[in-house]
Amino acid sequence: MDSASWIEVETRLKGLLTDAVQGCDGSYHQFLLGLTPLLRRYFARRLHQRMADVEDLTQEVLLAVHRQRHTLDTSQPVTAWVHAVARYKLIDFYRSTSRSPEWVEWDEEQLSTLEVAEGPGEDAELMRALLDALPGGQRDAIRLVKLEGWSVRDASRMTGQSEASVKVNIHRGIKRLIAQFRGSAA
Amino acid sequence: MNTDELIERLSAQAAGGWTSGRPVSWSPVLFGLMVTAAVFFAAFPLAPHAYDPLQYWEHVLRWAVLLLLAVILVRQILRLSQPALSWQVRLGALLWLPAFMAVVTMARVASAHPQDRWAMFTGQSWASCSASILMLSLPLLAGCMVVARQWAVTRPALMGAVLGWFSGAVAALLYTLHCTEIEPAFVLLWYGLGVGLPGWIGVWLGRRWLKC
Repeated sequence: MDSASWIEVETRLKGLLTDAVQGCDGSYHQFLLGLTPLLRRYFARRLHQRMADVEDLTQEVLLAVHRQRHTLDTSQPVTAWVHAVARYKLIDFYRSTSRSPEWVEWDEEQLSTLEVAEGPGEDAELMRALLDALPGGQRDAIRLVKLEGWSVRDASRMTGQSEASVKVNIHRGIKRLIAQFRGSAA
Repeated sequence: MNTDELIERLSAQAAGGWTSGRPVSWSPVLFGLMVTAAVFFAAFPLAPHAYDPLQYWEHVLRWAVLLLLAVILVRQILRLSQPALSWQVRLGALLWLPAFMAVVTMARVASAHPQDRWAMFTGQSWASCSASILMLSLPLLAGCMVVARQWAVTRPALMGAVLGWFSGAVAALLYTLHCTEIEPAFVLLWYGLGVGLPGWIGVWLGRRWLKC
């Protein structure tokens, strides 16, 4: 968006918001409707069109704007204010999803290499056998965090172990794996 | 719920308009400050210089630096409370104050007798200074956090740090009424630590409490 049309958007939204503060019928509705496509575009560009997340984040920003509308100083640019809130929500979203597996979207080529790699190779067999020999807690912790890519917090929720014990189990499990691997390789 | 439904619902809630730029309630900060002051006066006797504040230039320097720090931090807090404003503007000023104190300290230490240099940093009360300031800052920090929750904070960790430093600076100002250590080296090191530690707690609290 060039600066002229940006100023136009700012003026229009500011006008609607000023009316909405005074309780003008429908102007708050128009204001939120005017924000929505801007937010969708902002998130779509950064989330590579993952539409479900784009819509979730758009709604979250609308909610935040609504909740904090009292604190908005109308002498400040509205678009800058909403942009700061959107940026915060995006960073929050990245932080919470960066380590969960559904974040990664595979393309065809990657999927085919994955299938080859997951074939019943000797290493995979050995790995599975070694993992199976571990105590349950350690095996689950390593499988979830190290092999499937869940965060420690997610793994703790899924296994019912505390976060600290997930970490300890991974550490001990890997130590034991190394020892076993040395034993079986010898 | 789809986005159109959400917009319908939100606009229905705001049908009558609202007060824009509604002033936040500052009473938690005042309450925190009162608790901090009450703890100080209960736990620490006043030093003689509290009654004769202009006796040494080092007293004045100590107060001036802490007061300036608190003022800069208040302005930074108010900027951070408005997400549309740039927050980098006054952070530079925060670096100038310690830098200035470091220059004064170096000049003093360089001109002192080598045997006295270590004592300039440790004074008589180095072990209790930072911890006392930290302890005094906590009630005020709690009050500041409650107030900051009323704002749309888009930089929670930074806001927490700045609130912590502000609480530390105010606590340090109070503590100067008890503390007789006026050597710039001591002030830089132990007051610096006492003001810095609440900032660290503020970051921790800010990440969990502040949001928009």
